[in-house]
Amino acid sequence: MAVDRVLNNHKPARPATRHRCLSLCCLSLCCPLLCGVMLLLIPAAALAHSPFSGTVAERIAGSVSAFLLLALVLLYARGCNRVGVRSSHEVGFYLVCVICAVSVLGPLDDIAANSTAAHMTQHMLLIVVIAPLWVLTRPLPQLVAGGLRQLLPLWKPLLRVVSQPGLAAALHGAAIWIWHLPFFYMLAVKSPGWHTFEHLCFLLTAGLFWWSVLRSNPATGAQAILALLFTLMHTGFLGAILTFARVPLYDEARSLADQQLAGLIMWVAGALPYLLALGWLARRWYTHMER
Amino acid sequence: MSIPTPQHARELHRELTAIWGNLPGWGTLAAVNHTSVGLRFMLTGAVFFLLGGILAMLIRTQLAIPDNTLLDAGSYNQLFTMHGTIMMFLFAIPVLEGLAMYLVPKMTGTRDLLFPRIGAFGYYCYLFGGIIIMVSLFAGIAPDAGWFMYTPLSDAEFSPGRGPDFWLLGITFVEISAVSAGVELTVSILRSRAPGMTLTRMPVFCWCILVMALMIVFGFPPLILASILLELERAAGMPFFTVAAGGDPLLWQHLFWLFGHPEVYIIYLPAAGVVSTLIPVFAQRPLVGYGWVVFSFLLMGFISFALWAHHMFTVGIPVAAQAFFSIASMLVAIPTGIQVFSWLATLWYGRVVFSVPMLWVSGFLVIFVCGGLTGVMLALVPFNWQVHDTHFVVAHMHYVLVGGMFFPLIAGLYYWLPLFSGKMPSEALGKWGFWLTFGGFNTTFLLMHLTGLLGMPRRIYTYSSEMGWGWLNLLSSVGGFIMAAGIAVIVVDIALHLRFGRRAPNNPWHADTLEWALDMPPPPYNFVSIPTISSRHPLWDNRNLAQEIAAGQHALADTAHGRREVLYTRGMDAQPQAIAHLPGNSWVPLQTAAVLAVFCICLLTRSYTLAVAVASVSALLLLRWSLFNGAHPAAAPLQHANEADVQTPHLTARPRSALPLHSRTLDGPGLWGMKVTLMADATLYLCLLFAWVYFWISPERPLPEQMALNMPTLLGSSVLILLSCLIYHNLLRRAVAGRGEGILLRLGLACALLALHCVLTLWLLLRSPLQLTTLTHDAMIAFVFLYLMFHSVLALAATLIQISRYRSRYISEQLPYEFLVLAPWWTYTTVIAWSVPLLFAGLPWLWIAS
Repeated sequence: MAVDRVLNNHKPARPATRHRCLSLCCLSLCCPLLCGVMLLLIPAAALAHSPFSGTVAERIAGSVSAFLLLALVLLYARGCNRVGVRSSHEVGFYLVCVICAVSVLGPLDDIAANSTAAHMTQHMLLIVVIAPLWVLTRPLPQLVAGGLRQLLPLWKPLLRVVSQPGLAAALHGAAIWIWHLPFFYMLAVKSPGWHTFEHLCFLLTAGLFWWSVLRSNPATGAQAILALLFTLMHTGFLGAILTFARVPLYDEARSLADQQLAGLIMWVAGALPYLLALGWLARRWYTHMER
Repeated sequence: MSIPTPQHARELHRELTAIWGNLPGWGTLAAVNHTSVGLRFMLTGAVFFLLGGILAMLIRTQLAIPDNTLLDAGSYNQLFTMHGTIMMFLFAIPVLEGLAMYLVPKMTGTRDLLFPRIGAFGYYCYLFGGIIIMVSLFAGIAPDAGWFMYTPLSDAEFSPGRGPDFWLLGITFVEISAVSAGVELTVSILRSRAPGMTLTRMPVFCWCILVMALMIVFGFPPLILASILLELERAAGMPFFTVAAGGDPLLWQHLFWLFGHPEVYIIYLPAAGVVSTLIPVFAQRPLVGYGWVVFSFLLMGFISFALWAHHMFTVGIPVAAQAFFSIASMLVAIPTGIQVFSWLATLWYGRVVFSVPMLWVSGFLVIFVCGGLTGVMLALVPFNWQVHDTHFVVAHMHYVLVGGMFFPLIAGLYYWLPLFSGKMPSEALGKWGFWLTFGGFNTTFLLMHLTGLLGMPRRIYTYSSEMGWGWLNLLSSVGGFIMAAGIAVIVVDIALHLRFGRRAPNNPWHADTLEWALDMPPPPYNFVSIPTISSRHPLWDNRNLAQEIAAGQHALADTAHGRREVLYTRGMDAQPQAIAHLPGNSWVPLQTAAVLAVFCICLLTRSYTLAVAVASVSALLLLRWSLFNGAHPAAAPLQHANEADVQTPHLTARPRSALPLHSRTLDGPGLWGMKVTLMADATLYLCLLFAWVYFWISPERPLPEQMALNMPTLLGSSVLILLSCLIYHNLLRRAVAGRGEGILLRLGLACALLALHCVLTLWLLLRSPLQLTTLTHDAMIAFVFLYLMFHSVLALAATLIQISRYRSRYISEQLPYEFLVLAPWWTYTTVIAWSVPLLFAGLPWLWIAS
């Protein structure tokens, strides 16, 4: 049921010519940007985890990230050709792709190898910036039309999660906490492959969480607000743990101030998107009731 | 409908009073009616306020002149600790809860709150807890470590007396009452409003109370947990906050302020609700920006849970944290700004009548805005360091709390006094009371800012004359006594008005909300009939509404069944779904609270064997409580055979007259009460997990030689409870589908497996070589096991009761409602049982492995 609703949730295609023009414009803007980001990374030989530099493992991991992102862009572009899309959504989607490329393949990734704060910035970008913005651009109809329909059995169970904000929040919370335990955290820091997998976990669960919350209907609105509040609380707890720890938790060589900054980025800076979303949701819920 | 005659109305009144009234004489102690309970809360709170005020006067007398010898340091410590504790926990919260309990059903157009016995139970818990705390003061052994009981000052080593025990046990007792009121108010506001009163038509006061109640549900568990942990440390030597064993005193501060910061808004929100109710009435126009004000209340609730660290700027938290929280503190200005500007705009557009309540509201606006401004100053870290622990902070706190809570409360008191008593107070005395209080308050506390800036610390019992604080303190003390005189005038005014006040006219302030459609003072059943609401201002729309209600022209005017009935409505749009039948007068709340009080006294006197016996008696009483529900002869026995068919109102469109009783449906107040209670419970568990991880980040944490828990046994017991939970859910599905065969068998099987789980867990706990008094690690493990045991034993007891009720056919496949109520508890207990091996045994392994 949920699947059908999602699949049919797109507007009829607009006149093909105008649409294709727009689409091509966007794609032609986005691809050079993406490529530019990647090209920028070449000369900086010190940069790890990019497809063009570092050890073999790092190159492979970087290539996988880049490939997945590029595949997403191409799928979406193909879908845009088949079903209609609002131009603001389309531009937004590509812009978020660029942000994602910069944060996963850019210099942040390199600094993150030695700095907990930079690593946390990367995580928070994925969790509270990229994932919710992607959800706001409503890319699913395009992705489905672009080729995800063939993979339906793979992601169908995920749609069930989306209809239950509480469950999505629990999954997302588990992903966040598990990857911030010293054992798994260091696993990701030391192995580029695990690092890529960590990012995938964050993006996937965050995507499900934000989707379930931001696209909640009036019936699940209260549950969505509670799920957000829960996430606000537990990320705050995790941030507080990092802020108040009196020993470096992840690598003994790292400075304590760096770890404290990481904790605060999660606790305070990370709280702002949640608070914004809470306010927005409460307001939307209220205006719906008033009708 | 036949035209009702005055005689018919009198007849209805007589019958409804017989159903809803309290028992005569001493029987009034068994009252569960929200009007009685609410008034009792408020009166008891007022008595505690006067006691706390006397302590304040003693403090001011002591500080009036330098080198005063009236009090010694020890007594002074007890006095300021008790003053803060009484005003916060025994006055501010209970009085506001009482006001909410009294007013909410009257404003939302219903006859009672949905859990009347819980309300009465909460009241007696509060009363006994308060008395226990007060006894310590009169015995001279009161707590003296400040109202926030910071460790290590409050631990067994530095406070060897019983003072902190009185505080911890008494306050936990009072908090149980607060959380129960929070659950009751949340569910009642959401599920029992007059038909048609959608959430957006709800009086803004009820919105405030809803947000407050939810904040209590999420905000109080951290302090309850912290109090239990500290009491265990003091009494049983389990070292949760002792550094040598691996504990951390800062953990107490985190848990305390995790409660303490929302607490500020828990106190402020109902007061803001009073102001938002009064201003439109005295401006005689609707509140400007109702939707935005409601939004700002919600936003305030959300923000308050993210800011606790700004109370801890000087305890040695990282510099970066101070900067971040200093900036984040400014966020609070957004919702408060929305509220203040909405109130000002309403006043601006209206024609303001400056009656006594409006005077108090004006006083509130002035004082609260000043308190907010000093709050902005205190959010700036360098300034905070400078004035930390000086009288500047004392002055700020009193501006915020007295301005933000006491002034609106007195405004509300004068506003609703005609409703409480049916009589009008004296205008002249009221104005005297206001100006004395307002003038006295500002003399005391405005000057105290300066005293603080000149460097006078808090909590010192005297100072030498060379410091130059003498004249300021003298003036503050004079101001304090002027304020006391003002409060005395108010007390006299209220006492006199009962005797000499002139009879209040109907709806004396020309207000718009439903409580003014009632007789004054209101009858125990509130409304003869329940009206349908179509706007935010029912009394401004329909001037004859009061007469129509009294004549029984609206819903639920039928009395032949002899039950206490209210409408059970849908959360958002208030469409009636069922008729909730509520329990009547009952001695069980008083008995249970009294036994719990004896339990507290046993703990205080450290007679633990007696305490165990008393605890089991109280458990029996609490379980007996649940017997008189549903189809029990004392509640709502089945009238005829086909009544038992489950009626689901959302499936069949039926006329309102044929609404089913809630115990015959699949949805009812108890289910919602269970869910909200579990939210509070889960918050407590999250805080426990926080404490656990907090232990792991401390640099010196002594660990046991080897993992104390036997993992296979632990996992085995978790598998057992998972199986029993699945069986329970299976029988639940069968019962809902109406298939009776095998239910009893499954109930028995679930109980047997659960009992096995309990035995196994207990065995594991007793057998493990835990070093409870030397290692924080082991103390935490033991505590989480106790937490798990509490849940699984309670699930077992509740299911055993269900077996007996099933055999009596009070529940059955035709009446599966109570299975649905218990199911969330089963699920929650199972989740806890699985999280214990994963988080408390698995986490250390991962931590050490890295």
